Amino acid sequence: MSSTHTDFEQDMKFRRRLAVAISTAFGGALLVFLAVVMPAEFDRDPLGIGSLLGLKGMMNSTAGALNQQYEVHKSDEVEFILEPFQSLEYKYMMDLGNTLVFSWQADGELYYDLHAENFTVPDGEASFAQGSAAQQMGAYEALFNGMHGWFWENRTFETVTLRLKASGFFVSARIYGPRGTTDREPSPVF
Amino acid sequence: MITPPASTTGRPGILLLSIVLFTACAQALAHNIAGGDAAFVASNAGVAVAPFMYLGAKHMVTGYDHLLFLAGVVFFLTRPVHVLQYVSLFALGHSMTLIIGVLANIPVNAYLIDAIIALSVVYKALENMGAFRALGRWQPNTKVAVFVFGLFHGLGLSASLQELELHPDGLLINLLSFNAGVELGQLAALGLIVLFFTIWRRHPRFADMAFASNAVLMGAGFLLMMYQLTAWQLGY
Repeated sequence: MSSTHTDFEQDMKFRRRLAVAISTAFGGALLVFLAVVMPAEFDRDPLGIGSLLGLKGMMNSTAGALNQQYEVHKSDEVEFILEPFQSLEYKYMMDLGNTLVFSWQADGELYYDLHAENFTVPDGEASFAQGSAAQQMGAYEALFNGMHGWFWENRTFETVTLRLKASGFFVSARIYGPRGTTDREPSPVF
Repeated sequence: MITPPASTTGRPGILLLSIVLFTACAQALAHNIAGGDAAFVASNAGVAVAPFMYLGAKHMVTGYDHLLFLAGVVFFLTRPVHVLQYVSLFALGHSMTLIIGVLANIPVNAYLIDAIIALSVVYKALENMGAFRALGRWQPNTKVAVFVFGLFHGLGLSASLQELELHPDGLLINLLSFNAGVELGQLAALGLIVLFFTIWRRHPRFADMAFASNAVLMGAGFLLMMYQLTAWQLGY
């Protein structure tokens, strides 16, 4: 506390210091907001700095919408006949990230289990949907390299005909039937 | 109270500035309950005490605007009993509006409330800088202000929770668990904040740096306010 200044002058000096601090804080915040935050978050660039820094349009990347596939697009249609209490498995060899659109229909109720076996992790199995139905459809994305598909079981006393139609990105298909496994090569769309 | 000496901003203030501004920019979108948590709440029906407690704690610990206000509140509180008093007032305020807000499904615009929360940071920084003492005969009661701002912080918490589809089964217990989690998260963060200030106050030029740091805190509050008000205005 200096004795050469009056209390009033001390007060005014402090008030001025306060005013400078508040204006600097506000001005700094405004600058950062207009130059950085607005382009990055709101896709607006009032000062032009956002485009300079490459921030404008940051939020517009469409990487999430397109799921790049590294496999040929193939289409598959297959029909099975399941006698009473007969079961079979049908799977596609898919790599991680491969997607598949499928629907299957049966003329009777079937127990189903959509599941996958992991190539790299021994005993690495995952089941995604199970239940009893006469039809199911969906879009599936492989979470790991392996065999992905269904176990169907006819738990009725009637013979059931099952038709599966699938389109997507897989390498090949395999039937696990009562007489052993059979491989199939569904054809590419083009 | 500490009288600020007649010297200008200190260099540590600039370091603090960079940290605060970078954090504010980088986490601008982090201020809500993240996607995975949202999926959990949507698929949850019935009482889930521990998960909701965890969500509450996580929300407080990652809620940098709540933490900035808390830091402003305890900035000059050296005695533990004072810290306890002020933090309890804040906790009482936000607990009240969190619970009432969710139970009564009070509709508030999340961005507008967040702008007011940012304003609370600006207010607290101003108060710490001695602006109210210098400016007038009338000074708002500090404790009342902390409580009132606590009410707004709670409304913000309630708005975040309301955005999720909270199942009516077990809602009250889950809500109370969430609130308990918020308090636990607050305690954890507070421990670090108080420790930080305790060490900092030993520095010979603390009074100097304190003024500058509160100015930076105010800047952060302004930046947050601008973001929230813009989002509100643009109808996000």
